[in-house]
Amino acid sequence: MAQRDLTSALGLLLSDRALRELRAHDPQAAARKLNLRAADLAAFAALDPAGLEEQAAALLQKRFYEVAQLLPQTCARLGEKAYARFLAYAEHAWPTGHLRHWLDVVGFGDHLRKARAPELCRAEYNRVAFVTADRRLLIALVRENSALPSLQILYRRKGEPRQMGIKLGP
Amino acid sequence: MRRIKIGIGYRHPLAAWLATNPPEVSCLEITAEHFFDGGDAKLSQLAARYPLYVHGLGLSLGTPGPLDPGILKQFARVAELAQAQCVSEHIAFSRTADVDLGHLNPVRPDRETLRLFSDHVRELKAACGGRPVILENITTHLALKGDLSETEFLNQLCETAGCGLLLDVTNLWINSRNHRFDPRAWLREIQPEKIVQLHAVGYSAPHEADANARYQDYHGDALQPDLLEFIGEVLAYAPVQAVILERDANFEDTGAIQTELRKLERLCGAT
Repeated sequence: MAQRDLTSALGLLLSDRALRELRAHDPQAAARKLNLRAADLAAFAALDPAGLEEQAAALLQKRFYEVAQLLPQTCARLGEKAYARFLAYAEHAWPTGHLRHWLDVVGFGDHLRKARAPELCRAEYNRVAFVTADRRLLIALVRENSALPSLQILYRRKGEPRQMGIKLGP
Repeated sequence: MRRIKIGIGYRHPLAAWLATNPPEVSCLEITAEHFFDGGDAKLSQLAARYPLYVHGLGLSLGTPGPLDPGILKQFARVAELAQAQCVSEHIAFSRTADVDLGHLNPVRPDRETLRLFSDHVRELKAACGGRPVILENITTHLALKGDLSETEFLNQLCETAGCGLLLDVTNLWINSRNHRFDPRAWLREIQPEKIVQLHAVGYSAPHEADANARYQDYHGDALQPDLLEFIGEVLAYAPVQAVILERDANFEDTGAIQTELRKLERLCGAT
């Protein structure tokens, strides 16, 4: 395995709480686990633990901020639990690519779906899932709270995602 | 009197407002990644109406090794379609071979990083048809020490890489608050001719009751008076060519955005 430089080591530290804890208690063991190159050992040992924790927390907070913009109703329904629920998903999932913020929303939505969380707003989730999928049309039956069900129709026009809804009822 | 362009970061919710040709906007900055999956017609329309600057979020110039060829190709395509006046990225890394962190993280200010950025700026400039490259300072909670101070690093980076500095005044302000240094002393250590463009948006201040809370860059707040005063000082210090208001949220009140732009316009007119 190729040796890691400081930047690569930082990437793993910032995304892995257990690794940060190991570094805080035993920097040499953490450096060995990362296979850190010798030239970076001193800089690695000198990293400010509080700064590392704050930077790691800021990364997760920024991800949550973006997710909350795209799942506003879901996050409102989750209320004070929203960030903790997001962390339970986000600390173990790091989407990649320029659509990563959208993929984060889908990943969090999937996490809530698996947990059968009633707070997940399916219309919001469907909209984001449609944007990230290579599909031209998606028709879904959505029912929010006690309201009558409606048909959510997602489609693309000149490549841009659009949506319309049709309320169903008596 | 020099003429400084005033603009805003283009975001899709601003499209209808921009279609009304607000007189306060004389240029736009577009985010390259927002046009990776389409929107070519929109981009061409914008390019016909405004001088455009193309700003990147995902090239991760601070990652060792060559730039990701796929992302670089898409970035260059957007720059070409936009007929970009210049292209910009961050002095940061957001990705490594192991993980995509999704947001910007600091790099160590040392000679090895200087070489890496010089290589990457040359690669970016070549891919973008020789367009000027400017690099932006970031906010960070983790201060990394190297064999250069941050300001020495930035001056030398501009010199060796042949690029300019996109000074994010808000990021500088936030770092100065969180890491307790004097932003004015920091500014005086930067060679003024390196500062080509400014980014500005209100900072997100911590709650007064929380002594440990930090200033943040959520890009949704209005410019505060102390920050505006500092922007005025930067404009008086450096031959800035353009100032970009960098909002990522709170687009509903376009009247408030226009007021912000007018404040920047007044500051630019005063220099």
